Amino acid sequence: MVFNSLPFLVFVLAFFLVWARIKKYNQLKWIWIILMSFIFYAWWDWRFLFILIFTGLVDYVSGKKILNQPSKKFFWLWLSLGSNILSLVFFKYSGWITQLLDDMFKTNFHNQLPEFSLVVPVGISFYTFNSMSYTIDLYRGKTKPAENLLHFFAFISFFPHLVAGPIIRAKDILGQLTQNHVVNNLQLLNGVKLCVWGFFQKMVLADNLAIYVNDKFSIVSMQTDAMVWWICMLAFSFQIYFDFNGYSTIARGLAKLCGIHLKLNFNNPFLAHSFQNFWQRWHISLSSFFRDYVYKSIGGNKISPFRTEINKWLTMLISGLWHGANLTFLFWGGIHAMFLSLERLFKTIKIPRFLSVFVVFIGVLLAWVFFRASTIHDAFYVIKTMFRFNTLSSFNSIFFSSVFVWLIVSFLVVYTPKHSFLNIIKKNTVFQIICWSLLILSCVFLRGPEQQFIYFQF
Amino acid sequence: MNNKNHNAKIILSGIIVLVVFGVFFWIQLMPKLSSNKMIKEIFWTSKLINNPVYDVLILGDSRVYRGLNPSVIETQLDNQYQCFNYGFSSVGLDSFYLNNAIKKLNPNGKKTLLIGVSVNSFYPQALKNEHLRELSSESPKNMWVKKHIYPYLTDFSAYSFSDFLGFKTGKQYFETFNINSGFVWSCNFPIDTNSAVYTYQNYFKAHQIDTFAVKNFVQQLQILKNQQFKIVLMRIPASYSMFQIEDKASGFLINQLKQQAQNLGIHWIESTPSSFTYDGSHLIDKATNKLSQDVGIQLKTILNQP
Repeated sequence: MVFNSLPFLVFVLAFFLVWARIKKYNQLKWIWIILMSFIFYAWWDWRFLFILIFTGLVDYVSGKKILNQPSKKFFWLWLSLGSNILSLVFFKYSGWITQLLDDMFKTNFHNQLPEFSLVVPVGISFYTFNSMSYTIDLYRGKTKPAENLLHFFAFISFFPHLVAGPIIRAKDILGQLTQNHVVNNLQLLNGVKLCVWGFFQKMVLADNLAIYVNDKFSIVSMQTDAMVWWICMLAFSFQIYFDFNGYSTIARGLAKLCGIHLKLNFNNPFLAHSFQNFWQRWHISLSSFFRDYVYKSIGGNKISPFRTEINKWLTMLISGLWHGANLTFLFWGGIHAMFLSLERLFKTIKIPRFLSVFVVFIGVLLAWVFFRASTIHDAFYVIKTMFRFNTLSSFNSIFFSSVFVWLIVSFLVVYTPKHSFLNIIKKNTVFQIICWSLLILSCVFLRGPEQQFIYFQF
Repeated sequence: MNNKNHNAKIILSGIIVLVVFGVFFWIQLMPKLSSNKMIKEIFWTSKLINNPVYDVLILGDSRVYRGLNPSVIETQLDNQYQCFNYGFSSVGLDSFYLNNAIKKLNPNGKKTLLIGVSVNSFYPQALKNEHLRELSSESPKNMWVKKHIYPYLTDFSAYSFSDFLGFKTGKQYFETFNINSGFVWSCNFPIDTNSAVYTYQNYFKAHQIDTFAVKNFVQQLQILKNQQFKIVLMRIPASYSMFQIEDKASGFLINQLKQQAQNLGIHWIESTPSSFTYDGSHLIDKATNKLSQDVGIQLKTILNQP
């Protein structure tokens, strides 16, 4: 069930209708959250619910044992990590790995895989990471354990963040779940605003930009014009931002309506003035996960400058692979690692801020080619064409088309100083009513063709 | 805090009232869409989940579902047989498509397949059958929602930038989806009989026809014929220059197919290039009517044969 669908509208109305009545009853509210989250997840494929339940149970039991049996806590930690990583490898990477082996050694592993292993369960990368962070934090003594199984499953399966994040830490959410969830009108309004803003980004901006991007990437070799690919990648940069930030904003809004605060997942990433700064602003929950649980675990920047670079590359490559079982994602991670290394090498060179923002934006845009293309061959074709600067034959078709209009709107949304704009709106009640109503009407009548969220595939 | 809380209540109420009025006025005042996207979704979903009740199934790509009107053909067949257009965009004529199609035929009916053969159907991109696969991969729950709930929501169909531009300039793409027959009436204004030709020309230059797929198609026809399906092939008319490009790129594939089909005892309906297309590839409405009538007459003769 995707957020931008009719069934979800019915689902969410049913959820909040009952939630308003039962949120004061301790056990009942947990059961309601878990039950509805399971229905939400099972809407895709109920069979994959068992993976969520299985890995959740292993992590919950491991968490208990880590605290109760300190001498064996290392074993329990690895049991938890192992079950999560194995389910990830089996469902997400087995097809790709066996295909690679078959290509290299002329074996026939791929055809011997069971059919269900070739379907990636929705959101597996997100809920396994949520779950793993719980046992790692317990092992490191950084969080308190969940009081009971209901609390734990409410934490990992809470539907707003279940399938595409933000990846949340136990310490950030378990405490909140046990509090009273009184939502006053102001919080209600803020929750609704977040949902509307998220839906606007996804349904109006991302889905309309997607039309152009999908069209160009449907047959890559048909497009021989440099301008087309620059515009296409510009559109994709905004599309993926609005798509994912839209999802995260809706998730935050829904959680707020339940009286729960989820952390910010994007902080104006296209205003980043360095690649390091970009990763502090883009998909913050994932970047901080990799920083805390991978980069720092393998030594971080504490050993030597050379090892720091190696650790950085390893972390970025793993982060690339986390996104998908394809060489294109590995390249994407590698390109970002290269940018980070080059940045460190040339950090003494000072350039004006607007120029550094521009350079970072172009670097990120070029890296997106590998993220979006289906094959390495396609990605290199696009990059090669972008730097051909051959013709301007497509000038008219681009500058008088809808993609151009949506790009202008996207620019305005991304680069208008938000605080000053929001302050103007906040001061006038009537203006606020008009603005938010217009956004809702745009979601209804100007929405693009219904598309799944890009990050669902991960 | 209380003041802010009160203000929030006013804003929330104001938003609800304004949105309700906004929706009402939008539906009343905006010009109707020349291509309603919600009806389009109902159309494609229905095509896929309709019951197998048809005697004659018309297969092929957009030239077919925009070119052959089953209602007109049924009239020519004295309304004795149920016809349905099971065409999809850029369809590849492979076993996936053909096997899907025969499930739609009434097992006790005439079991007739009228296949619109197009050169493009044997190119790699078409053989991916993306349109059909995408529609088929939709969950049954979503299909149910589209078929049974969407019909009540067609007023909420989304407008695109080109719709607004079209209202102003008259440059519009019109589509009417006939859910019961699977046929789409379409036209693009202003008419430009070369607009599709350029795209096809580029594509054919960059890609090769899949000869293996052609061979498979002929084998598939043989199998279907052995299973007592009646098969009729034809080339849907397009502009003269489009036919020329296709023939040149494919090494006169259609002529070869015609020969092979006739050797197998499969019927072939003759057709010629048409001057009445709106983009070089798709026929305008009067031409689709004429073509459907002609095909209906010939089909009647074929169906009456033992």
